[in-house]
Amino acid sequence: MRIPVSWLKEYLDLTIGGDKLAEAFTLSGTKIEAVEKTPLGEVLVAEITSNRADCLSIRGLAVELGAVLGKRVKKAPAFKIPSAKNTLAIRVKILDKKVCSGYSVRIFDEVQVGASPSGLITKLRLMNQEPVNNVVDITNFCLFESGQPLHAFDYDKIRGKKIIIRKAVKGEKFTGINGAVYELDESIPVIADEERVIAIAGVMGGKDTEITAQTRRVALESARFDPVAVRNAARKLKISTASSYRFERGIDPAKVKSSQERAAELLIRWTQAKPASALKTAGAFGVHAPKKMDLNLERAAEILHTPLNAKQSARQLAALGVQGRVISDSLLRVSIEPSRPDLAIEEDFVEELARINGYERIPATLPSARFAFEPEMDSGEYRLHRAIRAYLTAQGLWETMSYSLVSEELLKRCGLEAAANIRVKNGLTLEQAFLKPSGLPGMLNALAFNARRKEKDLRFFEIARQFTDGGEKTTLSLAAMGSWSRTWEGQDPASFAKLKGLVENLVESSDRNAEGLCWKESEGSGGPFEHRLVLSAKARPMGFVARVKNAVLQGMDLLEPVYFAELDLDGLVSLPKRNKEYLEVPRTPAARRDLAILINQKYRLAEIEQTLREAAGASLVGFTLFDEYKGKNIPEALRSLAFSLQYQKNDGTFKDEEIQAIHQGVVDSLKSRFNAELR
Amino acid sequence: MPLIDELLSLEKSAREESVFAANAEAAENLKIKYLGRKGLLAGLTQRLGEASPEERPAAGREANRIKNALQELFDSLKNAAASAAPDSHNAFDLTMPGTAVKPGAAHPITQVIDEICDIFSDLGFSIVFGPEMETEWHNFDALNAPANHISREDTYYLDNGKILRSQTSTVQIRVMEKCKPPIRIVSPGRVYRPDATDATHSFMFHQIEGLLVDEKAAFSDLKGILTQFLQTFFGKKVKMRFRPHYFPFTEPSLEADISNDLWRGEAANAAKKDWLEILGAGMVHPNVLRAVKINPDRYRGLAFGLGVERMAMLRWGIKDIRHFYENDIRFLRQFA
Repeated sequence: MRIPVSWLKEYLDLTIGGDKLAEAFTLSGTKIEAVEKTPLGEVLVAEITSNRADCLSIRGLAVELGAVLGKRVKKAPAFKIPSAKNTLAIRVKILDKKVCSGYSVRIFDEVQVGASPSGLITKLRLMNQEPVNNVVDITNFCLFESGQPLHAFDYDKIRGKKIIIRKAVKGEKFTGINGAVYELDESIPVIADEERVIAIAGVMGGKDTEITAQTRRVALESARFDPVAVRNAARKLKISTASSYRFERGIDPAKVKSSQERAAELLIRWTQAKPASALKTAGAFGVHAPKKMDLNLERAAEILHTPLNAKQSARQLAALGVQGRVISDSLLRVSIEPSRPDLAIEEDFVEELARINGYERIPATLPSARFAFEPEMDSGEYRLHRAIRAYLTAQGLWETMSYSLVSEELLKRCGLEAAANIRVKNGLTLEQAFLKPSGLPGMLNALAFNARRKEKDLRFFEIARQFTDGGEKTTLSLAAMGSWSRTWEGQDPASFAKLKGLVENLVESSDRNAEGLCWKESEGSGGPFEHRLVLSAKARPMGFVARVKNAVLQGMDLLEPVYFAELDLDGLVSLPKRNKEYLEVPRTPAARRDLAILINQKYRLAEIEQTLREAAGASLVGFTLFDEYKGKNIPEALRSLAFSLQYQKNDGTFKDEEIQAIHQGVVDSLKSRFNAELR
Repeated sequence: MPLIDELLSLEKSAREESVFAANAEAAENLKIKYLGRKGLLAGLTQRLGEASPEERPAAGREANRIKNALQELFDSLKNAAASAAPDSHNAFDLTMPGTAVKPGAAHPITQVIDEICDIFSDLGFSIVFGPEMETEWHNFDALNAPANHISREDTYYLDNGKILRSQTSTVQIRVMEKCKPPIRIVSPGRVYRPDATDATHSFMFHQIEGLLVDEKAAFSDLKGILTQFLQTFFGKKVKMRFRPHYFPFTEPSLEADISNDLWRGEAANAAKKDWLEILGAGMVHPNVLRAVKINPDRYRGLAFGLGVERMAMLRWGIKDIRHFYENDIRFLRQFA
């Protein structure tokens, strides 16, 4: 809303201007975005919040500022409309009461259409409104002055001398004053004469009945239109006018009549118009007695931590147009005024008193209530996420953030099924088509973005919601490509095992009971992954580690292998906490025996380990694979594995022969089960 | 002499000789002399069979122990000799770079969220999360938004009847549905608004929401909490102001600005303003409390919300919001 300072000063004695005036407005709730210094004068550009329709007029802002600064607003001088000499006929009928609850029109004769007085032209220009002619300019002036939009029709063009307020008929055509032709439907509220639509109610008048240099008689409309109907029409026809803007936000019903009278005064004064009819009305114009409400000042003072004086508070509210009566030191009886429909409950009045007194005056306190922490409010989720981030960053990974919406095309390129995902109905672009079901698209995008810029050694992680099975869950995604570490002491490439290690370490250090967690190779070759190893907790999948298929990588212009892992963090958080039990540290060190075997590559380490543990029994307290060797000197189809085993007995001494016997048993089991050879 | 004594004597002489091993080669020769296949220890262990049955186990154990001990001794001799040896081809350059794993870093958005959560944690707030896929009721109706409010159109609608939340205020409702007062929570999270994406707007961004509900909450407490937060985050010198505003779910409401003189980067200078809007807040509207069946006559609430990307862009002078989601490693590295 533009506020020309010179215009504002016609209603309010202001000694300040420019930045100081802007500050007075801003600090009381009318935020001034800019102070424009135009050749015609200073204009404050204000942001008016949607609950303050009363501030969409200069008079309304004058009342607001007057209350803030403690200054009286100049009332408009009374003007008596002379009675009509020759009555020109006009009939009004409201067919749709929901669209229009009250309509008024007055006819004027002998109107001399011409240029407006220079003062009016200046005011309109300051509002960025182009002057048209004195009649139209008067209606625009009244709109800005009081906030009630008016419309002037050329009376002689109103066919049948009938004004009908109804909904349009499907297919009905209308040419607006902007020259555009609109095709209407039955949801659009219109003003019509006997034959056709002459205006879109509350939005825009028609070309056929517009005021021209030839106009001699004017029909001046002032009415109440339903905010929802007007907004719907403006939206459908893609028009937004100063009139529709105000109707959409609601207008004080008392302004219908007062604005009519103001416009009549100006028409008579500036266009030599003569009233040629009484005020014709349809619908209800009754102003109901405003409802009353009790305002508890003691409670208000407690909320604001500021003492409130009943008499002064009543005065402040009165300045805002709210009638109030002091019942006691702590009680005001206030009216809920139609001019301020946003003041309807006690809290609304508390805010008014707070901002009129000034938010700066409210002290800064800290909560005084004793607070008991509710453990069930905190699931430990945030702490877990933070611990995960700390560990992964220490390991050299970088956290990424990817968009949660993906295109169908990206899903396809990642080898993911598009149709199964939740679709966005009103995405703005093709990239906003689906909710992402996996961290893979974001990760591949991030890798590809950097690879294109010659950064090929990448280790990323991301914690974000994935949307699958109609729901959402928080997932950790990991991706690695290129070198894992590269220093002058050596190079270590990204690998499947490294991601697996990270996942294992995270689960281990999550302080959760990971009993029943196991890794299983996944069967099936569909999807974007090969070599997929799935982690489950008692049959519930918790995550996986995989290598991305070459075909998928090629589609993303990635030339090196990419390893990818996911871990369900919601699942992890929901596992029961681990109970750590202290075990006495044994007196004697464990006995270490190394073991190197040649074994067929078809045997998985998991089964070798299982066999070994079964054979060794409880005395095996340590098991580490420290070498794997294939190639030179090793027959094809075999590999060499070297283990370090640690044996311990907790009760009594562990004799060498005992250890030897157990160890031999282990070797024998490997020989018999896997045909392994000792090296 | 009993075998065991011979073994011990062997160990003794091995240790005595090792003192004189001057280099790696000498150490290797010693090893072969004592531990080789035809070495002195082997000679003794071969004679284990001659020992009496009472002697044998102990002697065998000693032999094994001595073998391991001497092995270690000769190996460490060799290593010491090798590293002490002056070798012009292998001089150790102390100025070579360190090789410990260089840590990565959390995303800058996460860093800002963590810092803000820490501040509120110190004030007794718990950190909680809420769903990103929401119902219209949680996002609008329960938050007292008028039925035809324009913000309902600036929302992503999904084909399963739900929406993507446009604000973290939904978590106020989620928490109050589950817990009865007193409540003190802060909730960071992702929100979505259909907005043409440019340098300062993104359809996806992050907010942090705060909620406090108890019997004595006051508007002045809001000022106190926010002042404490802003001073801790921006430094004690920050100038701030609170001015009235409007939100459907709070009354009275406010917006807080900080003065523009603290900022680096063109983001702030381009705005050419003295004050930068930084967060919104207010007393929880009684209709919101009623929607979650909390009695507004007994309890009062405070709520506040801020945009994380904005805070991050101001703090670091980042000019384009889209950088946060490109995941350019050269961008991310700057936040180590």
